[in-house]
Amino acid sequence: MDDILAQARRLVDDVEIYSVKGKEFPVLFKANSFYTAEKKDFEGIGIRVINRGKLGFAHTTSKAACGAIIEYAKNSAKFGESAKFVFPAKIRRKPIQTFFESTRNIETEEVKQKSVNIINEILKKEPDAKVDVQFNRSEETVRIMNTKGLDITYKKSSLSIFVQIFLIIDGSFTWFYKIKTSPKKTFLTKTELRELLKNVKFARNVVPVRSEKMSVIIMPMVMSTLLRSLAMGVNGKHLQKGSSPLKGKENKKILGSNVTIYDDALLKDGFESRPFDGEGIASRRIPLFKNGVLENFLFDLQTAGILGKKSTGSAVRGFSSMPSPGTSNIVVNPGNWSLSDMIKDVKNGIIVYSVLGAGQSNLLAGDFSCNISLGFKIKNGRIEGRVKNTMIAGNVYDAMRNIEGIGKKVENIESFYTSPFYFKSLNVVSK
Amino acid sequence: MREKIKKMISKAKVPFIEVHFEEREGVTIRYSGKELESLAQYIDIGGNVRAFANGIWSFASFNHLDDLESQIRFVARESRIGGKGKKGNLVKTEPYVDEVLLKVRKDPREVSLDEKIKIVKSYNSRILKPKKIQSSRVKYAETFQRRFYINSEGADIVEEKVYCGIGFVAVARDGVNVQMIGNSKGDTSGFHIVRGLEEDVEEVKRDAINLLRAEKVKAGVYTVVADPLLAGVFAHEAFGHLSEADFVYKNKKMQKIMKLGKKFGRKNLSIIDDGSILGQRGYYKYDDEGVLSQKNYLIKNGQLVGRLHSRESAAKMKEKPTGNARAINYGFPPIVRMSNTYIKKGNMGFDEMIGDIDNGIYAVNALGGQTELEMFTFSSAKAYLIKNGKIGPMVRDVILTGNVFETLKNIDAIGNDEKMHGGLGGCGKDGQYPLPVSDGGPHIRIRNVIIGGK
Repeated sequence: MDDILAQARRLVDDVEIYSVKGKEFPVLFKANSFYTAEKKDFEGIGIRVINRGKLGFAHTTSKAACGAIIEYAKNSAKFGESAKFVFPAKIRRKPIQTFFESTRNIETEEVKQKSVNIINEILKKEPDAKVDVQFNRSEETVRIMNTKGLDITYKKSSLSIFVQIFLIIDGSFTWFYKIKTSPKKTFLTKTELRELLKNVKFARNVVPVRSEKMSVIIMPMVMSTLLRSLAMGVNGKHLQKGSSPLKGKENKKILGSNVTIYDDALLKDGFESRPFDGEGIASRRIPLFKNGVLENFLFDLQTAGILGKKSTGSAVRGFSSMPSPGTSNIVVNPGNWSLSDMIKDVKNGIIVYSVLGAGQSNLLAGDFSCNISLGFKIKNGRIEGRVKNTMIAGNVYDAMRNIEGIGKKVENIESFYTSPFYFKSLNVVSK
Repeated sequence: MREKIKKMISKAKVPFIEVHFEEREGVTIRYSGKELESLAQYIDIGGNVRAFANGIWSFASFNHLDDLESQIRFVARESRIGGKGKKGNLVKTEPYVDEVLLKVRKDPREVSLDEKIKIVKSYNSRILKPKKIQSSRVKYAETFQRRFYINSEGADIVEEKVYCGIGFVAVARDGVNVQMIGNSKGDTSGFHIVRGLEEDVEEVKRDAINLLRAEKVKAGVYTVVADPLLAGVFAHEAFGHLSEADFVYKNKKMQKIMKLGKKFGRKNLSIIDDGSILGQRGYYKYDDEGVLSQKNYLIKNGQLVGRLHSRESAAKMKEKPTGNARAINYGFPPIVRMSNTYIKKGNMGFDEMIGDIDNGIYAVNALGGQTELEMFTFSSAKAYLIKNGKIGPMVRDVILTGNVFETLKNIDAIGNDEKMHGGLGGCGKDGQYPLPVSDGGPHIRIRNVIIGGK
């Protein structure tokens, strides 16, 4: 890598090399039986240059192609944006563990055995079920070098489990799934499996629901898609482009007083935790909304430079892309409601476990309108049955000002850490 | 090199083994607002090996080509262990030996970077002109790809292709009201596709500004007329994925639902997937298992007549291979995918189609679509009310949702026009995104569609 840096610095003013090298071991069970075990070795190099004050970029997966790639990067700098920053020379990083031997040491045979156990447990209760299990463990090393003298590296492990039950209930397709992600070794617990199977039981009874405003409990999986809208709102890029609805609203109350949200790249055992961002800026815990008040936007070096601010250490990238502001772990402070208390409190409403099509509304404006793929009707504090052909619709910014309660049990959906939310009045549309 | 690989795989003790190699190089140019936000060129080289024994696959991908022998040992061993005591085979196909070299009107690699940037910039400036336009995004992308395929049955294929296209988005703003709309063009026919799009750019710009004034649609059940692009997205997303046999063969109940010969729509409805249409974004001569692409009827005159197969799914269901095993790149194994999917055109004119609609929606293009096989959700990029048989004012946030089987039967009119759309993105399945595809068809009319909204 040092030779590539040396070669590049002869051609341009400043260079940054971002390299990733790692491997991944997917194991797949399809329709109740083992299907495939895979191995993926990968590596890639992204070269960002500043030449005559302008930014250029190119990338490759082949070390042999680096010569050509440096030329490409130099060439692209002719047309690039003016660089509004200098590459960092050093870093004061806080310690954070991102690599766990326990994940590396998982054997394929163990994964197969545990998957078989899960499938058997499910089939005991639901003999007609078709179960898919996707287990993936990976490790990668990230290294950032630049011509200001920075040369830093970290290693991270990750693991993801996806269990999906497919059933045809009364002639209609129904999916139930659970996703679990972690940097550490983990598997599905008995409780998690029990909860999944409980939903299958409830779903056997389909009940009608009227189109009206009603109480809605939104489970963490769906909260994570709603939180993506807020994440776009606080993204410095959208601020810079003038397209964020939060522009000019720093220190103003945007959400309900009970809502506090952090972007925390130093979260212990966080799925997206890292000692530094994609440009080598040290990670920290950034309050986005504190008691509903907008505190911070997220910036990388270039976006911060353009707006005369400081990078928040929020450059997100792979080797094949230029850095851009983004989130790490989004952590929502929990409230004090248990899920069963929420359900008991609802006179007329629904609880939503998963949705379809959340990404199709005007996310930036906070609008959502999604088809409920798994949700249940609640009447007088009790779950009555599954709702079908039903959508929830509204605006995240409006909804988050009108929260009845926040759950106390936090779940992580990839890099989103949130508990269930209880909204008093959301729009529900049903056929 | 290829002789050496053939020798290596002939020594692997496993019933079937294949090797893919791939070289890709490309350019992406992205304007956002006034600035050229990113300009990147890349070279991507890699490969994979895949082995099959008694119904079990094993797969390994890599960027380092020099330890192929150990990769072969890994997959041969894993598939042998996994397949012990199991049963399964691949359908027999002709092992083709062929070289398909690039043939396009204008190879984008021969166009200078300066010229490409000039084109992107001119479209971008055009979008940004009006005051009401807050921001823009214009993205150009080209990828040249050369794939090598060798398997233990004697297939030895090289196929070259170039994907080229451009997408543009206009963001209009009025206070807190932010509206966004885009369009894209892209296929495998060469560089000319990105030229002369001034009219399309003007339309996107106009639409974004008009969306600021558009009312949110009132939720309810409507008669919907879908334009060719939305009809295509429907054919692909809502129905096409059901035709992918890898889902069907594992599930007895699904086999009953997707039984060939069953009535799925009215007499005038036919849906086709055809990977062999030269120049389309979903074109390929050979799929990633070396099987020739072909025209496959999925629905013919309202009846389910076919589905899409890999060699494995065809063997499992005792049907003919269709040439639909595809991977997005060397990092993934081929799985059953669509190519160019469309609804066959009928004979009704547009005026006649909307003529008897008192209160309906004309939905144009799709921002996105998502399905869970039976259920689908699409949002149209723009839409208009249809009042008393005439196109009325623009409405926004039109999200269509429904059950695909009911919706297919509710298609009661098929237009006499036809359009295919490839664009820049593609289809996603099992973590493989974006796979280049195109879809399209004529205008279609669908009764009783549920629309979410205000």
